Amino acid sequence: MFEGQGRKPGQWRLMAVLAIFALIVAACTGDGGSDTTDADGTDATSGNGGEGGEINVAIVGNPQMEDIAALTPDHFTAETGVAVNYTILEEQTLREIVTRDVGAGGGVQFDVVMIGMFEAPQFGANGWLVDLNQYADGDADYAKDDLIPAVVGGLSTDEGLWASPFYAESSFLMYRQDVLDDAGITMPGAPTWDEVAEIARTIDSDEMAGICLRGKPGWGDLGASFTTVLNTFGGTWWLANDDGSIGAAQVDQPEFAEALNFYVDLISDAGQDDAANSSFNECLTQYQDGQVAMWYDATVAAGILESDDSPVKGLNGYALAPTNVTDASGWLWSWALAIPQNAPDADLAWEYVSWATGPDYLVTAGENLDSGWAAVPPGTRESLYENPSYEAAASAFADKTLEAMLAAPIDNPGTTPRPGLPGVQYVGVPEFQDIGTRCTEQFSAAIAGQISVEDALDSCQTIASEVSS
Amino acid sequence: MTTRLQERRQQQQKEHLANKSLGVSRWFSISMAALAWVVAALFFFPVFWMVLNGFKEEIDANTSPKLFFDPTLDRYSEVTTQTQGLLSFSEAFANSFLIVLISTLLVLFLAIPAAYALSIYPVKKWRDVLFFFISTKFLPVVAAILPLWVIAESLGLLNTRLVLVILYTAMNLPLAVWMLRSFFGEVPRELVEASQIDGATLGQQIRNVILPIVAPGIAATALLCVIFAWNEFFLAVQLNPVDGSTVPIWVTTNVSTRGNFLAKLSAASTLATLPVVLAGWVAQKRMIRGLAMGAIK
Repeated sequence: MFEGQGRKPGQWRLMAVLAIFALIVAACTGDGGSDTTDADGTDATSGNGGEGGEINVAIVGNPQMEDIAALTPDHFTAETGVAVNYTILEEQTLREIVTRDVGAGGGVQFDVVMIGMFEAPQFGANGWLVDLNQYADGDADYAKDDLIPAVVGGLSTDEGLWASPFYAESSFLMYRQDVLDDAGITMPGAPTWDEVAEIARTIDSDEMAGICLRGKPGWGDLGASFTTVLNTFGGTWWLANDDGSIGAAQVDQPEFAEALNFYVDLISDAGQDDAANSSFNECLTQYQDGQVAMWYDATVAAGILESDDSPVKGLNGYALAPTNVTDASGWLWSWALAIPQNAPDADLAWEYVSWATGPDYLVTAGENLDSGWAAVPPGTRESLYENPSYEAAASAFADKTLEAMLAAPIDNPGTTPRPGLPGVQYVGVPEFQDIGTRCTEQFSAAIAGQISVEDALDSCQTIASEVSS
Repeated sequence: MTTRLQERRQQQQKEHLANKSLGVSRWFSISMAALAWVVAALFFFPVFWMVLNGFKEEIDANTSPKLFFDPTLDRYSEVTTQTQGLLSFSEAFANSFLIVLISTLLVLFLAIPAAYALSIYPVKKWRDVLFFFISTKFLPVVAAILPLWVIAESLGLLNTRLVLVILYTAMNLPLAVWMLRSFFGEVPRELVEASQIDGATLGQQIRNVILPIVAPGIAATALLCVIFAWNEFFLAVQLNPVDGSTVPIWVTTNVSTRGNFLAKLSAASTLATLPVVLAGWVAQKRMIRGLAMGAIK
């Protein structure tokens, strides 16, 4: 009964094997490149295979990074013939992949990687990155002297410049000028935390919280915001040993307790709703929605608040990061482009880095982006703040941003010697990512009212002591 | 007389109790149905909200929850706009489609004979074999990622679709063997023996007798393999961040460290889930039959 039914068994088998083989060949031959279209809708070929070469660049998901990807074909590839393949990754994923890539393989997958100010000195000291001074010093178009000194300091060690800043930010206080005016309150240009806390408690109401502060666990979330407060209250995470290594944990010291109590009390008395889950984006939303009157966070937020589609455009005032016992407390952060030590063609990679982080790119971006000059990557070059077009577009916040960038205490953020310098809102040692995250989980629980500040401090002291030597 | 009365009363009491219990069971059923609807609504609500957010402006998606708003397709337009040198939706979709299709075919190609050998005429120590298959799932994938990366790098497989085809096949094979084995166990032995008496070869037995019976089970297994492979993110992002990137990686490119992205991400997530939802919808009947057949019995 089975003989002669349909095709012969051998034929079926052959067809199945051939089909699978064809699919596997198709899978193996493709490398993911495909025909694409420019942002302006014109046809373009794939990012692969430029006449002048091809590089792979890993960048973090951020509006300015997406802009450069859109501008690259017409303003870099068209000029140089070098095709650029971008890989956009979420911040934490980028850290994991780039760390493994440059650490284990020295640039196996990427010719250029975007790293933060936290990683640059550490990766450089490990010998994982190319010293960019050798290129920057002889490249007139790059204009190294135009870079903001504090930003260069944060990306360098004595041995070299390890990454070129694409975007940089400090922190400052943003507030609703109209709300403070109605309350008859004047915000000082450089307020103290006590003054800010008093204003926050005065204007706090059921409809509008006094201030929005980060409360979400994470060394780069609550950890960044709180550490600037800790610094200016005279505290530190650890002492430094003579050789610069991590010394005794200082979480059990009075200054640390004073800073954390101040932070938690301020949020409790006049902070935003759901503070334990708030970071940059959550505070941005609440501020734009009129739910908070003040917000202490990254200077880059001002560009979003003053954009054409912002409901609070023109209603804001800006003040330097509040202080206590130090002269300045604003943080400093930069996303910067680095070349891994074993990059296949470092010269080609530098050609791209020089264009992407050079002064001409800022002009290109300002003149070609739909969102205009206010959307160009801020905080890296002094010439940007002297450009009339930028000054006109960013008049509400440009001067205060530059002032904050220049004032950021990158080499000495507190009152005591500490490990991991340069660094303001973090301790520049690999261990801080883990310790900072675990401790801020405790602090966030204190903000949520789940545990007491004393218990959070006790737990954190134990955690921080794990790496003391 | 007294006895009759007593019998009548007892009868009435029984009827009363029966009616009462019927009432209780009806209310119980209604309550359970209501509870099921509430639980289903709770599970479905995040998906509903995601779809809704994809049609909002960022400011509407990120402020106080709004059920009524001016719907827009701008977010879908934004996420599907192609930029030279950047991973686009169509590229990611094509990569995912090819990788998922080939790996699922390979899984079935390998799992069907394995399931036959473990259920119809079990090989020696079939329990140990079965345990071995499932034991490959014991190791957390994060613990294996560095060796996998080193091997892929040394074989030149990083950023190729082939590496994900191999890994997704390996990832789904144990599950498929276990599922298919239990489906194959439902096939009456007499049918197989009858076909042998009629002179069917092994291939004919599988193709003409067993497969038609377990087709719903195979469909269910294939669909689960498709779902797992389509949604897999960790291996894809670790091994294929530059080329051959899949849809889950494309979704995360819409996350921004500075600025609101919820509406955009919702639109991207909706697009990413559509193929799997459609596949599930198309295969719904077969899948339910398949699952009822043996695997989850």
